[in-house]
Amino acid sequence: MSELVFDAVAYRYDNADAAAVGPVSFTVGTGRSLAILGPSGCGKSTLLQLAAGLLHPQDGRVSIDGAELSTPRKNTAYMLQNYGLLPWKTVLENAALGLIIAGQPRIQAYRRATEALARLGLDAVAQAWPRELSGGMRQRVALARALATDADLLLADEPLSALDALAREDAQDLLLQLWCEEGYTQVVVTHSVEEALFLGQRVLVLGPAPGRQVALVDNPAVGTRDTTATVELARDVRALLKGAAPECAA
Amino acid sequence: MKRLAGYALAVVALVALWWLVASLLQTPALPSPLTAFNAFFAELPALVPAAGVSLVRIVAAMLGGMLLALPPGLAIGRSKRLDTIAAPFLYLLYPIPKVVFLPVLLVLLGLGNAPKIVLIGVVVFFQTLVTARDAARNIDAQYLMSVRSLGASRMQTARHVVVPATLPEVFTALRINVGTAIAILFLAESIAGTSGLGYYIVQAWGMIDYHAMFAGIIAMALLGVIIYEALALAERALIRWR
Repeated sequence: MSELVFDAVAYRYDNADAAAVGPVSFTVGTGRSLAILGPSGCGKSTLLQLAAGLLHPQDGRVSIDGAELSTPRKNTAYMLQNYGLLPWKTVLENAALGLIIAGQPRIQAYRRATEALARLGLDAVAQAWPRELSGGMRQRVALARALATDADLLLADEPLSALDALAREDAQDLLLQLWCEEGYTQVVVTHSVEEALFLGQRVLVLGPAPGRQVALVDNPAVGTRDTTATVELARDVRALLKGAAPECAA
Repeated sequence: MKRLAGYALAVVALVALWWLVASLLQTPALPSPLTAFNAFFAELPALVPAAGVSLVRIVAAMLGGMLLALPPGLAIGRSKRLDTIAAPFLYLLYPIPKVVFLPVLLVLLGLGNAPKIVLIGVVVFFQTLVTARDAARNIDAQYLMSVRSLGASRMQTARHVVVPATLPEVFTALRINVGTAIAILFLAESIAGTSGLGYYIVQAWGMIDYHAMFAGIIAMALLGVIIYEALALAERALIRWR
């Protein structure tokens, strides 16, 4: 269970004149998927950090299952842009890290992490260092960490931005497949319209800095590519993004 | 093997240079490499215990200085508030050449091991403190966020991120410090000592026994190489991910 609610949330960094993001309001129901889309610097990552409990809003309220979020939750998996793998830990140690931090005995944590790695086809590289893996494999290790901890909320911050086009499509498929199978709530930050429409049942469109909510678009075509519906929706979303961009002086 | 071959090549080049200078100068103050190495092997029964004493002093000082400096260095690097308090003290104390405190330490601690260990320890302490602080300050925010998002406590963050992330810089600083530490050891043992390689070298110099003096110099150089290599070995064992 994990319903994520942002209620008129605004955040301002220390010493900043203007708000980094907000006010933003949306709800991601249990097991649903939201994509956050917007130009660079519009506060997409800030929103994710607020959802992870790493930042606390000055205005508004972030809650999960009705309870206001004040600290990071053990059942939230936060996948960073570089996947958040620690280079001094092996693949297995990285996958088990959430469980170790949660206080599980090492043997039990490693057993569950091994199962998660095997599920993602990474059992052969369990003892490898992250630097020895490709970008796609690192992404799968980060997903294995989420699976091992039985996360009910996956927050992914541009998780595919470091991948080439082919690997990126495979990784999108994997993200979608795991979300369908595991049933966790998912929030994915991206600056690709196509990726947002492939992964998000709803797409939150943000305007340029300071990030403000432009639209919350329902996407019935989640999990599909290049269909008439996705092409049309992509055109609409692009129009929203362009409309939110400041006009150049003539 | 590559490393050993590199060492062998460097030794051959340095000995050749030494031989050339000795042949040109033709002075008893600079014996030929062959004479010096002969003296080194002949003096081994006296050199080994002296080297043992020096080794104990330098290892104790480096270990003590490092272990005492790491926790505060890492804490200062990760806390702006602590850094604000500690920075003025560091700016004042770090540039002072610690060796000037040798007379004070001799008065306070006597002529035994303690003043030498404390003096070298203080030098290693400050260099490790500053290195650890800077390394902790520059940790990639993504690593910290990665464990904080998992609900890691301060201690868990230190264990899983801060310590391993800063270890490479700390080891580099320690290896660089070996030369300084041995120089201070020599100074301390030669000024106020009755044992150790520094004392041995200065005694030989005083008796105009240049062969024994060079045997001591070779032993001190070997001590530096051994400590440097031991640190490199520990670094490779502890920092396997690189």
